[in-house]
Amino acid sequence: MDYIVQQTLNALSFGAEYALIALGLAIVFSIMNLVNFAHGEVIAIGGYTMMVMATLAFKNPIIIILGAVLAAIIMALFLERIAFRPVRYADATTGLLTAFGVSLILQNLFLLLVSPRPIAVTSMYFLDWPIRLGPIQISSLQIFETLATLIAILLLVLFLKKSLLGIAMRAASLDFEMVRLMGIRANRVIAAAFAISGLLAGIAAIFIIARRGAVDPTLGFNPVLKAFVACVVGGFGSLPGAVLGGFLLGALEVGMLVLLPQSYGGMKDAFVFAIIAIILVWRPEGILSPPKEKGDKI
Amino acid sequence: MTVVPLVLLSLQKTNMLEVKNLSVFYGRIKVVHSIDFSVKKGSCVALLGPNGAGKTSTISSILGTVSSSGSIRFLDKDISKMHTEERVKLGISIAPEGRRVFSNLSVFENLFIGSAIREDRKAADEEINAWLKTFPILDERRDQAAGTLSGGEQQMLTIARALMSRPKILLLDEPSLGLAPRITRQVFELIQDLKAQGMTILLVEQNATEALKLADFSFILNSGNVIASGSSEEILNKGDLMSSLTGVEA
Amino acid sequence: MRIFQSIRSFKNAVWGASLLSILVAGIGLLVIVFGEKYHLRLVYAAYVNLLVVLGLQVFMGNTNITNLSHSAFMGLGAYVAAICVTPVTIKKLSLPDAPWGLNTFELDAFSSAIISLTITGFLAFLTGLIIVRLSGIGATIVTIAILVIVHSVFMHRTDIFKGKQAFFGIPQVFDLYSIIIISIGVIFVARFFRESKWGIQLRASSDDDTSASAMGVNIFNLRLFAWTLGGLILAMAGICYAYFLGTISARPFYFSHVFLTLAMLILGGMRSITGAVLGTIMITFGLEWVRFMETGPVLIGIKFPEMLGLSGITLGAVIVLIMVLRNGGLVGNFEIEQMFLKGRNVPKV
Repeated sequence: MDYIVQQTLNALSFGAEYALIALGLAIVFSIMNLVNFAHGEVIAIGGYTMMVMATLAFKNPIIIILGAVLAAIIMALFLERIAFRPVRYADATTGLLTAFGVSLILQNLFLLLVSPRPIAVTSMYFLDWPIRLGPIQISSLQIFETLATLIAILLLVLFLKKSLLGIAMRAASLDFEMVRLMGIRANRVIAAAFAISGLLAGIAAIFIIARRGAVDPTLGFNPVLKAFVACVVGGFGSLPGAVLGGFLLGALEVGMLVLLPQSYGGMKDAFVFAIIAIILVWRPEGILSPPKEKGDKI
Repeated sequence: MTVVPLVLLSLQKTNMLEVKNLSVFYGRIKVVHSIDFSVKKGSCVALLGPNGAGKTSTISSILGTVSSSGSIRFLDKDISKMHTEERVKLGISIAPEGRRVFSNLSVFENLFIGSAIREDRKAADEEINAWLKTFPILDERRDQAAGTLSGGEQQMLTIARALMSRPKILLLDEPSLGLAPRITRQVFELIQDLKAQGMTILLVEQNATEALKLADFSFILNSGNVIASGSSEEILNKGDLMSSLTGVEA
Repeated sequence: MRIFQSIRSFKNAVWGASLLSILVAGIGLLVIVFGEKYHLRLVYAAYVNLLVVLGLQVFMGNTNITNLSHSAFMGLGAYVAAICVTPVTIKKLSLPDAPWGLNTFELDAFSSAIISLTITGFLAFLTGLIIVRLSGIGATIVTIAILVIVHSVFMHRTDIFKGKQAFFGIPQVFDLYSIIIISIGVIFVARFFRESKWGIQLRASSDDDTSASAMGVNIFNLRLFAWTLGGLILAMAGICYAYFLGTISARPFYFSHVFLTLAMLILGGMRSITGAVLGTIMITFGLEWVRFMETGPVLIGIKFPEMLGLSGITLGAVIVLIMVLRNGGLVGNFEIEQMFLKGRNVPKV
């Protein structure tokens, strides 16, 4: 029983991280059909910012956290402006390849300008201490991560339901031109989407750094690969789908770790991706595929 | 052809929208060929013509969602180079073809987003409530997704949404398309009311009979050219032409 | 059953493929005559990449669906051939725990290649059954899944693939002449497929499934065929890789190689064979120069700093610039024979 509770908590915190990143991918995709693989490098920028701030002798963790999140937001906005705006109206494949190109450039820039090797960033270790709940031992980090994700989701829902810009973003996922015909500037809606994705990437960066304690050029690539899969399973472009997919992926991964014999532990990814492929064959559009129609014609 | 310039001359001072030498392109294909027309303040002007005549292309070019050349003057300002959003802010609003309600937003949110450019939040909220009172069915579904509405209800919502921005001119693109006759009548009654309240309207319609009843002045388009224009009476007098193009029996 | 819709498209295919073959063979022969030993290895690797790019083009260029799993199929081809052809004495040493008696037999190079092609082709066919049912970005996503699955199998079944470590002792079967001949063969295959009625139907359908189905084209079967053919070419690339280098490991069959070859294809223009060849040549030579700069050379008396990562930045920049400025690549739909057959009505599908 304790074992089950413990593994469930593990699954939740894994899933929270994927959901957080997946939401960032989904919110951009829902509005401009862009699969933003450079999201991983936005996370990495968060990590590098923490590294730089630590070396500049910033001690206050709150300031470091704010700095990292802010850097991620600025980075996301910057990428939109210089790389993704020119392909805004292109097809999804063009956008995907552009994003891969941007990701490649940034990873190698980190490598060139900072270091190819991991650099220790210990300023987030304070988030991680063991907690005993009766017979169960968990880490505070897992709780923080799950809570932060839930709060982020809640705030995002509030924003999307209550604010004009949020409503416009939901509308734009269906019919962007009609949103412009309401007099709402396209650039504003898209910038908002990127800012939110940057914010979520920044939060993710904090937890990734807190767990790994080091930053390297590929810091964000693998998490984004997983989050991307979460999006796909949930239904690309659907925000609830991204969250569902994230938690499902977390559960799958922990499930694989528990069920697979020790010697197969390394094959976890293969099994997870295979299950994902099967889900996609069953539902090619994902579990919660978003509505597609552009208003009714007749 | 001799009548038009005289009429235009007499309207010159109060033209709200003036389109000259307008051509519309889809890629390299030209679908509207150098047409001229204008809409006087407080009047209802209809663009009529068969399918594929270029009516929707024309109306879309006024808001800048298709690429065009020529001059488009609104309130004596050349708007032809402006972004769509700026044109909307100047006071042009559209109820587009196929309605295009935001089917994933609630009825209320559709109206709310319609008022996006307004600063007077309180007055806008009251106006939303007024619309909901006008159409009780919309009030009933206030918090339901607009996609669940019927075609006629969606059309009412679309027009109300377009009006939420307090436009100076309202563009209506095929408001009766695909609606049952009874609903069509309701839609045209609504347009009649708006006209009576002094709203300037540019109406695109295939249903020429109803449109001619409403319009003060009409332009007939065919294959991207204006082939005739005049008051409803004059149009109806051109019998043969009309019956071939619009199916209206003179 | 006719393969080509007209004599003209057949002639164009022969012309174009011949011209490209002369170009490709010419570069190779120049290197053989004038190059040093270290150049041979580089050029050989470039030919392997050319095969990969052509294999990629067969599916991507005709269906307009981005494939990111190609390096995985290349890896499969390489490993299967390597496991078959490596002598038992070496396998006893390198794969002591191999299951299914994999370390108890050895085959000649030809049989090993056939087995590798068969197995990789069959796996391509199986995965193709999934891919062709999806459209656009959905299909691309599954190709990413394939890449990750294959890679983690390579990495973690060390008893068969040795993972990060080198799988060594593969006899050297091929030399530069062999791969030049194979490249010419594959250029002809890819070009014939492009000009065949199936290729034309595929390209006609690549933008619009519905209209293509209305034309009575069974798109799924055509896509499946293109995918499997592409898979076979990729397996061939893998075999060539293993048969020359003597050692292979799992690392090179992952994202960095995926992006390298993808950049080659989209730089030239994925819709044409000429584009695929041109892009491969340009990136190969360009990167060689960039790698030279990376090491921090002394040029005209100036010591340049060491700039690790420059080649990655270059590749990324190529991809982004092509996507932003010239979506169809440098040549678009152009094929080389059009330069020489001017004035004649060359079909431009």
